[in-house]
Amino acid sequence: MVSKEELINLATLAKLEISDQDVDKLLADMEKIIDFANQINSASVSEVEFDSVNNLQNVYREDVVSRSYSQEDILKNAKTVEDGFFRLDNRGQV
Amino acid sequence: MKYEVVMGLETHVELSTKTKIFCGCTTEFGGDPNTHCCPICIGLPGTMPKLNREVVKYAIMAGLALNCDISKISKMDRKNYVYPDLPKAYQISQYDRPLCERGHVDLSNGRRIGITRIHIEEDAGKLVHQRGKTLIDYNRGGVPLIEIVSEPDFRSVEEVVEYLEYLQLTMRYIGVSDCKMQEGSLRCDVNVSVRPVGSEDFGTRTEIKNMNSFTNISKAVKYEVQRQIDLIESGGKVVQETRRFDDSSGVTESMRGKEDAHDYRYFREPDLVTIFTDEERVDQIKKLIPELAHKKLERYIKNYGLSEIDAKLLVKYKRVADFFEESIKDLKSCRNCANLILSLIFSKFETEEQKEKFEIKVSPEAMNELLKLLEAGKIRNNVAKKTLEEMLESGKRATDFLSEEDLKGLSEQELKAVCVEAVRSNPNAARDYLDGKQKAVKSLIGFVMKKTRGKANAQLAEKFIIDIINSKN
Ligand SMILES: [Zn+2]
Repeated sequence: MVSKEELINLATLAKLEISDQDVDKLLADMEKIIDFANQINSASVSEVEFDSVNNLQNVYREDVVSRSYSQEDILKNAKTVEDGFFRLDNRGQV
Repeated sequence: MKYEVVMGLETHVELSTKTKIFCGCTTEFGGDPNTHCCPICIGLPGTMPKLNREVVKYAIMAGLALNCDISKISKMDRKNYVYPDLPKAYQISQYDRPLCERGHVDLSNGRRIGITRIHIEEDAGKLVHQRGKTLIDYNRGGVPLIEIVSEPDFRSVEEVVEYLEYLQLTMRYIGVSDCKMQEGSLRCDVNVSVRPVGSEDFGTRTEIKNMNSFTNISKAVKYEVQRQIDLIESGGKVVQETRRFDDSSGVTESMRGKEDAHDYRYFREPDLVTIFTDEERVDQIKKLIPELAHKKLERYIKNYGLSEIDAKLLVKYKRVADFFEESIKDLKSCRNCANLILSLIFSKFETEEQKEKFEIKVSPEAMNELLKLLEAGKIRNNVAKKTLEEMLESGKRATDFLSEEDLKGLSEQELKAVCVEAVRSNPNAARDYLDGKQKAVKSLIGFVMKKTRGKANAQLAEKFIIDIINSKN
């Protein structure tokens, strides 16, 4: 069971504003999502060792510098830009 | 009532790998804003992190140097929080499977500070507040960090400072970080609580965030301890919270309370695979760790007979210690070498950073050659100093300045002859001496030293000169 408090806390952490009307609908959705995900608990894993997908381990990149993007390209998707920086808008968003 | 302070530290150390932890952007400090960035380190959707091999190696080196167990199986996790310096809205860090666990550092007062864990993670970007606006530079975002978490084992601020100096020196020795506090490559959070002396239970703690100088740590801790004691004495209660130290006013102030403590909802990073480290790999990495500073210090005092003060100054900078050790090869005593480094060579540097870099034009071989001449008595101390000065200036070897003549040394016969000459060409000085002016001999010794270019033994010269003057009369 997901409680109303948990749902609201989760929304706060994710910086989402939800209205009172939405809460009941979202609670129902959350229940369904968690039930769906919970299916994984029925899998038998006692024989499986701690491991990654496809048994991969130690996949690394070598420590070699590659070219970074230009400042112009990096800032291309920013909403507001100032002196080569990303600028926060008054809602605290990038 | 008497109180005891209890502290624990979380220390962040930026690793000096060439590239960031998950992309190939440079980790170089500074640069124009947002020029060391790519889609991975600014967290664009659809990008995949690729773990830097050296980061894992460096972190294991740090763990070994701090007596940790290295985890055979380790993994990365997502730590979720929304803040503008973190473009993905999560930091890739390690939660329940850190790379290193259960280490320790021994302090000079005999107390042992436990290290709970060391994990790897990515640094966040930098917020710049100017003219009422908040600007963001992501150059630092994605720079690799290790977080070294200690047990709450500190009982005084002096212990905290000694521990941090130890970490700084050790990380520099093994070459995994330059640990520059002013550039933020070493910074720490201090957990502080107080309790009545004799009590076993811990008091409520506060956490002082992001301290980046030894002076501020001392000031902040002293202030915070007094604040907590005053609060308790006046019947109040310490609240568990995060506090910030304000440099200009010297006080700590509340940043956020426990009620809005972060709920990070850690979960495994699905884009990165398991880090597996077997004993063979640990043994390989062990071999990369040089003799550490505290071992060197012991050896310098015990085997070389250096004073603790001198030994400490020499081991403080790894390059200096390396130079010192190579320079004293095959010498009977290392005293001359230590003296020349600490007095003459160090006087050429103005900053700690210059000593750290220790860029000089004299190779250890050239230094060794000079020291051998000195030890064999072929040159005297003042000549050695002058020669070293010239070597530092020009990068030439000692033998380039010292002529055959200089190196031959001076026989007593030759010295006597020069003394005779000195008395003969300075009849006034000789007369003054006979009139009771003892000092007059000094000018005659000066003549001898000049004539022999400093090779003469001044005491012997004085004896000869006095004999000559007396025998004439
Ligand atoms: Zn990048």
